[in-house]
Amino acid sequence: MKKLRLGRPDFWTLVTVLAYVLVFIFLIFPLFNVFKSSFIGKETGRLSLENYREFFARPYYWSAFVNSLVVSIGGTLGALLFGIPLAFFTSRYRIKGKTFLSTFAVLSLLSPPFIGAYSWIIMLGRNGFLRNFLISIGITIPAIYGPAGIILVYTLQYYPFVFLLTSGALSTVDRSLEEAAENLGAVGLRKFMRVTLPLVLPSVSAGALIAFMMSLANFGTPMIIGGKYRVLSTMAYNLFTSEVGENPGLASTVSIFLILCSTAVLFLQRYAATRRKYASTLINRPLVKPLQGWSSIGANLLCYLIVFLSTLPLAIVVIFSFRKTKGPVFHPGLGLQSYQRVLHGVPRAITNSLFFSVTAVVIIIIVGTLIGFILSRKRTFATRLLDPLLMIPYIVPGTVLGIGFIVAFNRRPLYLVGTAAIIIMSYFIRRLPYSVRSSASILKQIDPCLEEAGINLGASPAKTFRKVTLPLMIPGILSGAIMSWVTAINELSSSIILYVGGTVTMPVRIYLSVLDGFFGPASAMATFLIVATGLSLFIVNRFLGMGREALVA
Amino acid sequence: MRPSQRAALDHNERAVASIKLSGIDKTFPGVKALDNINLEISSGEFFTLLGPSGCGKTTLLRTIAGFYRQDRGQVSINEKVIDNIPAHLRDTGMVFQNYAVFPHMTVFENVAFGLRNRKVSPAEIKKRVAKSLEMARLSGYEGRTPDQLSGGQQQRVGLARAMVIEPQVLLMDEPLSNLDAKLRVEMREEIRDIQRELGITTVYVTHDQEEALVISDRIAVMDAGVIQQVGPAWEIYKQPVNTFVASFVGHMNFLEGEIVSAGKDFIEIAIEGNRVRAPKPAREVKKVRLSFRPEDLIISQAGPDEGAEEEPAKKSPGEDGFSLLSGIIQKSTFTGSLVQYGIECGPGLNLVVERHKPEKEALIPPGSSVLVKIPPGSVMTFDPDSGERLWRRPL
Repeated sequence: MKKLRLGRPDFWTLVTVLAYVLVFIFLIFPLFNVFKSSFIGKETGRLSLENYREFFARPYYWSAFVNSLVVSIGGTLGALLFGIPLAFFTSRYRIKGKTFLSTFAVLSLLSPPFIGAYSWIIMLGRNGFLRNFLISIGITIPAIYGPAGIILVYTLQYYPFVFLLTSGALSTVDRSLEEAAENLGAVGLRKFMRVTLPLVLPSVSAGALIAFMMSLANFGTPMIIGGKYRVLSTMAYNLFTSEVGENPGLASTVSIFLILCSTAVLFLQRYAATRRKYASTLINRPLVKPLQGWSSIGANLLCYLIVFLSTLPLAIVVIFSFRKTKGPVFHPGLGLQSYQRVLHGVPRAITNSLFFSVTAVVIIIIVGTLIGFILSRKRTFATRLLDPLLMIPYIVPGTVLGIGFIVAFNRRPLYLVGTAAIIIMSYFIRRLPYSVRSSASILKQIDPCLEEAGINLGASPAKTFRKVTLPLMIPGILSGAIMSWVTAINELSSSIILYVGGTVTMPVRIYLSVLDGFFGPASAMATFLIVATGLSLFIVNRFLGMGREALVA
Repeated sequence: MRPSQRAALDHNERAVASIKLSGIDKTFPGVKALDNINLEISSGEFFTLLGPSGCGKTTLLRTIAGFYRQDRGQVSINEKVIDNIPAHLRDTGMVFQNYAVFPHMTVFENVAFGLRNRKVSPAEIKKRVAKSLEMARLSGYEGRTPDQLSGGQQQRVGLARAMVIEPQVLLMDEPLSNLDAKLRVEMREEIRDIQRELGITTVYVTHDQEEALVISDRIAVMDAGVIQQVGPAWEIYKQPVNTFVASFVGHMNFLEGEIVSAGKDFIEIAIEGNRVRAPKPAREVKKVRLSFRPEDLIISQAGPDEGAEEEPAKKSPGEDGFSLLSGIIQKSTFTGSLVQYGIECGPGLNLVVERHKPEKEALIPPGSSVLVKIPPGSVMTFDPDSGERLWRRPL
């Protein structure tokens, strides 16, 4: 370990300082503002516990807390229910078209979260075509609005997390452990429950954790499909933005509960996972067994059904984008009116989305790569402290960060409200950890000796970084960048709070169109986003040759 | 390597450099890695730092390379203090333990890397890389990437890459320890040949004492951040200055006992009732630690009337001055060129004896009683408390 040498600042000292400045301005400062404003009463305008009293006193508020937990837990359980069997069958048995299945699972995972909600309304909403069809043949089901709809959408959106992490773990369980179980008389479900599942539990719980955090933070889905069902994220948004009854203090209090909730679950999972971490030496890869007859048909059917259900909303959206429309109404037949409307009506949303995302990703690549480098190569007290700070964006829902940005940047010298910069920086700070982590993890695979060899051969440290380190980091940098790009272009929950007329983005525009009942243009823009997402994933897979697991790990 | 190949590499005008380390200290949190290191390495010398892991040898090498900055002391090359010259301007060529061949560059690009940093013209680069690869027996591999090379070939690239820049000094950090045994022996010969041919000053780090003995002009044995002894291989092996060097380099038998009688040139000590004779130290001491190499001992099978009947306690040096110990063979290990015996000569008194070029009938089975002869001239004496060598009185 190198000795901490003060008084000889170099380029990397500068990077460390810059990293702290960025984290403090765009993360700590906004969150501190949220924290502070949660203690400022609406009536008195002074520090008090008024908002917290109010929150607990009225069922209207705390029921949202309960509701949030209900749909998040429901969504997580659903994700486990879909994700584990799919992972098990595809990694242990011969299922046809495995790559195809996982590609579509990832696509449904990364498509804009609220498109699923909106698509299910098209199918099973009050006037949904599927519901109408069912009614016409005598089956009456209630419209999808409410907690059931939210849980359905979360399940189908987030099960791929569980699927990817679990199948990654399942394929590294040493075969001889399962053979030992069989040898000792445990077969079938008993073997799975007593041996296999406990071994992969840390990964399963990591998948469940992501599903829970995403569900808790999700804003678009409960807003579109929730009906009158209030959850914390929608309540924070409504309290913060509504014309009447606006109450930023109480919105901040609600935000604090959101953060507390996800932090608690994060620590719970960490605690559970570290207690059950098994050192494994993979000697024998698990066998992929062929299935015969009915069991083969059953397993294939189940896998395809799961992936079909999660891809269905995307397909519906794409199909509806090509339907003939007149105003907000769909007519029989096909047409490109929806696309024309988007191109003529709101070209701004498209250019904004592209510009904001690309700019954010460029900043993320530069800053993330440099921070990733200091985190893994320049271990000092200062850089070590940066590590947990960069975990914060994982636990702060977009809505909360949006509120924080508005509260923090509405006065000089950092007056950013209403600018493009505020949206770009919100993308930046929320997606920075992806990039930092992917560069730091690829650096772990690059032997520091290589850098020393570069220096020894006469290249300055800066030149060595450029000529040796950077080229070797490229796969990690790109995979982080593409993840940042895909999630930035689909971002809704903070941009819905930060946008003004001139800075509207595609997801915001889609959301507003859906609220106004203009499903056609919404479908056209959503199709655009799905295609952009799909193409990016294709690039990751094809040109970087990376496993899909790398995307969530 | 063929002589014709070497001739091509003969640079008469090559700068030869001496290295001087004076009073170097380096402390890592909780560990004193280097403690007052003073060394002078002359031009063209093959100098080896030998010691167990954690002894500070790699730290010292990296201090010369400029990857560590010493807390105290000076590093000079050719009488010029280089402490304030950053690593990339020090003009040292380093060969790494795990090769450190750039995986994203071809063999040619790897070797050319240092030349490009030195702004050498493309034509010259091509010429020098080709020459260097020829020397490393890698001609024809220019376009390969490192993942298409074996470990030995990768290390040759590392060597060619360090040599091609014609550095003032060559630094090698356990370059052979990741190779398999046979290749290791082969490559150490090659490294030695190339170094001799180019006459480049080389500092070589290893924990393998045999490798150090074979390859070096001089060796510095290090332990706990301190240089224990500096000298050519023969001196290190035959005249160790303390028990650490004696036990680290080669195998060594140790006996400890009180001096019971002292003559003009010899002393005798009592060990388990036996008397063992050794050269008389210059300094007067009461107790000594004796040591002798396994190959210096002479072993013979005890006759039926010997050993069992005769009390071992009665053994005392014979007419020729050789000490006699009787014992029982516990273990016999045949390695091909020699056979090694583990012999118990009494409670807690175990000796290792080697017999070279063993004939079949010379293989003595475990359990046999044997006589061990110790030539007094081969016995070294050490202070049992400090471990320092007790030199004999100059004759």
